[in-house]
Amino acid sequence: MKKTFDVVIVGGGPAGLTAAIELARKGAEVIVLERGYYSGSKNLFGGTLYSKPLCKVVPEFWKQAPVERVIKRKKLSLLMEKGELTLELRGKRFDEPPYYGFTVLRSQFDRWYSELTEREGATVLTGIVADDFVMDGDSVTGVVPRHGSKAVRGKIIILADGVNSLLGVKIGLRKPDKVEDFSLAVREVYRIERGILEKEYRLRGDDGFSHEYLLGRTRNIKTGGFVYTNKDSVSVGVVTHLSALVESGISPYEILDEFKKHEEVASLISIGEFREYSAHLIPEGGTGMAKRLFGNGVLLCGDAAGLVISGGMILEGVNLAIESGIAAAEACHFALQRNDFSKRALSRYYDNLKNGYVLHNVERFRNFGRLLAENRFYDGYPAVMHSSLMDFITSTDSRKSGLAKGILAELKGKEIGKGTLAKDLFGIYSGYLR
Amino acid sequence: MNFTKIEKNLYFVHNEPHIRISDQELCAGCLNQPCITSCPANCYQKNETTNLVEFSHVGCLECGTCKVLCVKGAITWNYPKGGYGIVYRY
Repeated sequence: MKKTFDVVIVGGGPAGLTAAIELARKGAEVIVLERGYYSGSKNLFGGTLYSKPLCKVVPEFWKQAPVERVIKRKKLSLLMEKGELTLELRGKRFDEPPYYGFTVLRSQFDRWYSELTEREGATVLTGIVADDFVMDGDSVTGVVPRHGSKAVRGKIIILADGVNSLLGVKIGLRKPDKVEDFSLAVREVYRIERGILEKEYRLRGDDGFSHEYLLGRTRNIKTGGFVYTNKDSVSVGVVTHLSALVESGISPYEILDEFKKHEEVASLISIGEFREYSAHLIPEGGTGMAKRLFGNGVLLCGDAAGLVISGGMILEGVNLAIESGIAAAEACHFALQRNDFSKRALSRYYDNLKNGYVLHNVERFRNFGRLLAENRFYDGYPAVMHSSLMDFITSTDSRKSGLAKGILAELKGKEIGKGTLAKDLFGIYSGYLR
Repeated sequence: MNFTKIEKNLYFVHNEPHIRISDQELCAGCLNQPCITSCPANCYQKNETTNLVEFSHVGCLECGTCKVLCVKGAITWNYPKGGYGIVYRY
């Protein structure tokens, strides 16, 4: 093995592999260290791989990548005791290239992406945990794998080591963990024969859907649920804020089991065969999770950098990871050309993210997650909307009174004051409307 | 309760636990011990005889929930040896 690589990347997920591909294409000597048995073996996500950022790296990737289904319908349901309210979005942009997104299984997708990375000329080593840094003064110049293996040295180290980013914390780029900055996702995968799945959901060919739920009725726990259709399986899971989880005193798998009792989910599972159970943390603290995204000889990408948006209908992460990988590669290339790996040179990475959409979008929803953690969004507003709409629609033999009037009355019943309402509306305005 | 969720999962279990309750005193001083109910793999159990929390790394999903929730710092948390631990296939 050569003594010093141009760039050493810790973590073979979407962020790290993207950076590796982009740098290898520019002729840099790159090595990726992945701790899993293969890339994707430690990973799961809601299920939507957004198409556009990956197209920048691999145009028309869906022709070669192991994608599961095209998202043709995006659904959001609010569940409550008295019923539910669903919003469904369809449209041309979902149906035509470059598409909005695909369902993928990370164990398949990441493995393909890591093979592609190798074909592009980077080295990918799996089964390697990097535990520590090699330092030269206050500059990072390498990482130390566990169990006495030799240090892997690089001019620049990219930390794309995921939500737990032990190295990011160690080097002081990531702040220490805070309970309120994380959600826990737990998921089950059920195998359903392709033909049966397509018939049951009237899916044509590779068409699929994503369905997210805001659960206000399962024992009052603040939880979101999801169902994603894969080729011959479905992913079913729940996402719960860690603070809400602790507060509830209920186990995440019990919450998942509650969600599985929902009529639609239950009927789906009943035709499937249970295959896998998985869990993963989601960074929800956004730009507040990292002190800085760069240091002397080191960059922080993807989940490790807190680059995730969780704002109700907007759930993004892998797209931002890929984009941060592109931004990091560009900055590294610049630094390599000038032979300057100081934090001043690498601040170009931050500028790339700042000038593009990544930090803007993450920042936009930064307070939204906290807002969504309020009980009102689970057992308040959904019920208010549902009841007032229900009253308006079912008053087929009486005088209809305006929706606004109904909503105000319902709010009063839920003891949500005007001040609180104004605050929440402003929050929604900041995330969605401004 | 018999925990059956992880029985279909593929693990390459390493002998050496990657997570340890390294300070039982701190752990015992924790009022609500959120690790017990919050761990998605049910790795933390209260030993009714000793009244201490015990951890088993065998079914661990390496999610990091216990690391974040153990505000007492009673846990030493690391990844398993490279290539070991959970291997998701979906």
